[in-house]
Parts: sequence; C-alpha cells; structure tokens
Amino acid sequence: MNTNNKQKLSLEQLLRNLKDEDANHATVIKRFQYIYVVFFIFYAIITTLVYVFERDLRMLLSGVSFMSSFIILAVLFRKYYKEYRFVDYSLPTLLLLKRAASRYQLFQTKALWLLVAFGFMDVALTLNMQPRVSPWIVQIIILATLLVALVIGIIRWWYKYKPLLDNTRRLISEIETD
Amino acid sequence: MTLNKEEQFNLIIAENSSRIQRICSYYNSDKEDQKDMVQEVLVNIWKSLDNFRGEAAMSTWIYRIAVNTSLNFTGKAFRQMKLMVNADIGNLNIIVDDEEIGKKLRQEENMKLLQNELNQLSVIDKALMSLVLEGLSMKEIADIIGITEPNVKVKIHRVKSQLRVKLKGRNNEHK
Repeated sequence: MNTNNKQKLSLEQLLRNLKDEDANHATVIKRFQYIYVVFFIFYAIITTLVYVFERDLRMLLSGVSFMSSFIILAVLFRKYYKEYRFVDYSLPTLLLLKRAASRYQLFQTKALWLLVAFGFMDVALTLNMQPRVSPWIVQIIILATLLVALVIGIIRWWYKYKPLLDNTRRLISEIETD
Repeated sequence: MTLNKEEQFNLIIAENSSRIQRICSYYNSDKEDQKDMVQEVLVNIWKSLDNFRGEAAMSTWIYRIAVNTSLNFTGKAFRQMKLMVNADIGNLNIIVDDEEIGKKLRQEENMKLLQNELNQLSVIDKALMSLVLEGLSMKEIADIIGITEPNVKVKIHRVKSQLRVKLKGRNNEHK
C-alpha cells in the first residue's frame, strides 16, 4: 500500500470516528431530554390527579416546583453540553481564549440558574415531605448536600480547571500587551 | 450544488492538506507529534465546520483552527512549545527582514542560533512568527489572532528587531 492510500485510509477512518462521535453526542442529548420529558409528564399527571382528587394546594405547589426545576435543568443541560462539547476552533485566537477563560471560571453568572433550579427542588421537597418530616430537617439535608457538592466542585476545579484558566489568562495578557 | 458536511470536509482537506501539515511541522520536530497534531486539527475542522459561514477566507479559517489547536495541543506541555525552522523553508529571510543575516541563516550554525532564539520567544510570538513564515499579510494575521493590524505590526516588528540584534551580536562574536 503506498503512502497516499495509507493517508486516505486513515482519513476515512477518522471521518468514520468523527461521524460516530457526532451520532453519540446527539444520542446523549436525546436520552437526557427523554428522561427530563418523562419526569415532567409523570409529575404533571401525578400533580393533576392529586389535585383533582384531594384538592391539596400544597401538593399542587410541590408538583409545579418539581416541574419548573426539571425544565430549568433540561435547558441548562442542553446549553452547557453544547457549549463545552463543541468548542469553535475557527474563532479568532483572542476571542477563543476569552471564551475559554469564561468557561473555566469557578463562579459564573449563568450558574445562578442552577441555584434557581435547586431552589424549586427545595420548595418541592419541603412541601412534599410535610407534615411527615420537619421543614428544618429537609433544609439541613438539602443544604448539607449542596455544601458537599460545592466542596467537591471546588476541589475538582482547583486541580483540573484552575491551571487551564491561569494558562489561558497568561496567553490573553500576552496578546493584549504590546 | 450544496455539499453535505462530509463532502465539504473532504474538499477542505484535499485543498489544504499541505498547509495543515506545514503549520503543524512548525510546532513539532517529532514526526509522530506532527501526525498527532494534524489529526487534532482535522478533528477541530470537523467540529467547527457547522460554524463556517464563508465570512473569512478559507485559508484564514484553516490557519485559525491550526493556530488555536497548536495552543491547545501544546498546552499539554505548555512551556515546551517550540517553533521549528529548517533551511527548506522558503520565507526564512522574512523572519529577520535583513538580507545579510537572511543569507547567513541557511548555514547550519546560524540555523541553530535562529532555532535557539525562536524557542526563547513567548507562545504567542511563536504563533505570530509561524504565520509570518507562511507569508501571510499583517491583515490576515490580525484576522487570525483577533487583534488590530497596527498591533500585529508592533508585535512582529519587536520580535524581528530582537532576532536581528541577537543574531547580529552572535555573528559578530564568532568573527
């Protein structure tokens, strides 16, 4: 086999892999969306039935809060997945680096939507568990879970993303200074 | 006739294969590393293809992907990023803008000096000089890096002056 054939074969193989990878990403997005849609429909039906038969306003609010939380999480998941998975390398270098620096930051304004989703989840669980469990206990459990998740997130960021952020900022300042 | 993504990708690769290989060779002396980087550039071309609107020239688009990939690719060994040159590069004179030094550059000893000086440059300056070696205009380089043309001129002028001074100095020492 001559060199040209070898190159062509490896390009064909690469193309096949890339197309497979694209198909896999599309499947991942679809699967997660199906999960969110199924949860959403499930809670919508349960909430409606409970309200129709029991006229319980507390359970209605809990169900609506769960559904609001699912919608926000579904939209966030789609947005983050696309943003992190498909980096556009054809942007001007400085713009690419600035976008990367914003992605690698620890606290991001768009993450506030995540807090809104957790807020809805908190309301939903608190209302759902009353009067069996005290609202204080629910709050303590939710806050403790959030705290543990936050600490794990910060440790992961410190070791994985902070070095990348530092390098990216160094390159940006190198480009921007004469 | 509208091409699908795969046909568009194949066409881009067919037309720009030597350009991609050349720019990857600037950043890696090892053949295997060059191949890895070429592969990485191809992957990024595929990923960025959906965003190609034809606003920039195809060559500018390819250079952006190659330079951006090099920053990311060499990020694994960030400080070890190199800019490799050899006597076969046609535009070697352009790197110092000095005919006398330019002629001497092709001598083995001077090539080593130049190689050493290029590797002292910052990562961005190395990327800029790789584009200079490709013979691109200041405007094209500005479009690729995303800064103004005067800014590119200042940076490149500074690098060339530094190289000239150092190479002249070393040549005088050896006389």
